[in-house]
Amino acid sequence: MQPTPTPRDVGPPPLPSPEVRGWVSLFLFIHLFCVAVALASYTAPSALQERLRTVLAPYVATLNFDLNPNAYPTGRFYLTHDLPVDVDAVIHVDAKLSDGEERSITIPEPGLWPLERRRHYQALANAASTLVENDEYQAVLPKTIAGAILRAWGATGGTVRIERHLPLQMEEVAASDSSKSNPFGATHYSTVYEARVLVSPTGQIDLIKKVAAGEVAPVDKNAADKKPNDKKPADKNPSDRATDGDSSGDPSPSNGGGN
Amino acid sequence: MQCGVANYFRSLVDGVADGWNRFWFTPSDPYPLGLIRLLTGCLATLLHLTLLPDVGRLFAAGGWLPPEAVDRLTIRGGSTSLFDLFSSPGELTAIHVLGLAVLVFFTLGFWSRLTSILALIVILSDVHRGPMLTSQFEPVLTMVMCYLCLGPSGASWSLDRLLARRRATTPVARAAAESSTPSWAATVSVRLIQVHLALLMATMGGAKIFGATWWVGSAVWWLASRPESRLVDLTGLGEYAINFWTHAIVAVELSFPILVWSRLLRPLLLTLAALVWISLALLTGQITFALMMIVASLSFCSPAWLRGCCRKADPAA
Repeated sequence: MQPTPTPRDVGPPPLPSPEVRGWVSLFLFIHLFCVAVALASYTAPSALQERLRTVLAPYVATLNFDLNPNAYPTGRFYLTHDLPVDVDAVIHVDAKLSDGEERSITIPEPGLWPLERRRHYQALANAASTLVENDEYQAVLPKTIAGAILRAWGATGGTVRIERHLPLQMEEVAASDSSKSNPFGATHYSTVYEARVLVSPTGQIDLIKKVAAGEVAPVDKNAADKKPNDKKPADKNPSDRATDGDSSGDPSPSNGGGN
Repeated sequence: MQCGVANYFRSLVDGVADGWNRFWFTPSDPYPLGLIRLLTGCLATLLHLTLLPDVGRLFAAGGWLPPEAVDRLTIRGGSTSLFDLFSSPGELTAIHVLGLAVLVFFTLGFWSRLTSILALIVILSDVHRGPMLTSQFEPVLTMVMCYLCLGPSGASWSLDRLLARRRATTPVARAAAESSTPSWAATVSVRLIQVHLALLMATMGGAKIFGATWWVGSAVWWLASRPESRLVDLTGLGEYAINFWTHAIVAVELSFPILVWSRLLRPLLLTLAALVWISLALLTGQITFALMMIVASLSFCSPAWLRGCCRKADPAA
């Protein structure tokens, strides 16, 4: 009877030649250097790290090794620092159509399934909320999202609103006042961005941002003496053209919300 | 004296070179790579599949995320995506279905050498086409998929191996098909996953202690009190429990990159890390991220142990 061959009979494991080892070692060294730079510069990079990261970007960003290649903290590996941007957000787009019908959409839409699909839209809403902190980029997502939605509806105008869902404080959980203890209560939502969206007949999108009273320069003494008594920018404000695509020069590496 | 210094540096260089060669090039059993490929493929397929219903709305011409807006927000480049080449909903759906087929082949281990590279291209295209739809999961997924391209990831748990076994006619060829021949490419692949994962854990731990919430022990509260994300409402936990949980997460993330290299402590660290990922999935709803971290951690498990665990499911093991 012929003995069953074992893996050892097939041959010894092939070892790389010194030349191959040399080339592979060189690749490993360069690769690990790039990875180390990309990861080490995730939190508060120095000027040198920032420069190296930019130089190595064609490699590390293409392979998605750079944890933060965007204008805002994309993958929040710190999870939370209790910053204003470290909360979940929702985007509301509302419009009144020419036939009088009122339409609205909330992003993420309620009831999205599976959970992974909801994660994409939550990430999108959180990105828009984080970019609100950055004057240069804050209008990019509201403009494209609301513009696309209004065009699809055939509307000529509407509004886009970004709300942050503020978390409960520890002591609020046991509060007898249900408006405080209910995490979905109105007091736990804060509008951080609101704009009117105009769709021209050619499909051009214009965004007119509503600005909070505190952000507007006073034009007379009476106005200067008034104090803004509501942080919601939507309620009582003159409007101001958003800088939504006209900025020039290199984009700032600043990440707005900080990471 | 000079001779002593020269000898020291000579022995230092020799020692480092020996250690480097042993660490990276000692041939090893590729069995873990096959298992990691199978599980990573399932998660990659899920990611791609969940984008499929929305490709028209998000990526088509006039969609929510036009390439110009994505380019504007991607400040460090790297936004190359296959999906930039297509703009109509029909084309995008067709190319996504094609990508889905590639990912299914990759998961099943069919033409693994080729499909592992194609699958990486598909997932990178997803990520670069809509980076604002991503979170912590995608960087870990692409990292593991990238390293799976380097090693024989089809050597186990794959159709490739099944087909090779059927085709084998001689006893030697059958033995070769039924065994996983140790290879240095498998070692390089597994080691890269290990090193990158350890660096990533250090980055995560370091990023956390940069903020006060992780020092004062309240970070878990701020995660638990986000009703949109969390899977389970854990706001009823006491303050001490919140503090302990917060400190435990940081302790595991900071100790993992150092202690996981100790054979004695490795099982303990891997168990604690798995518990941390599961707990974070409950807190943040990031299930795929937690699963991906656990899958990547399998690279630290010995092939013999994994074979023992998987014997029932995989008779070839």
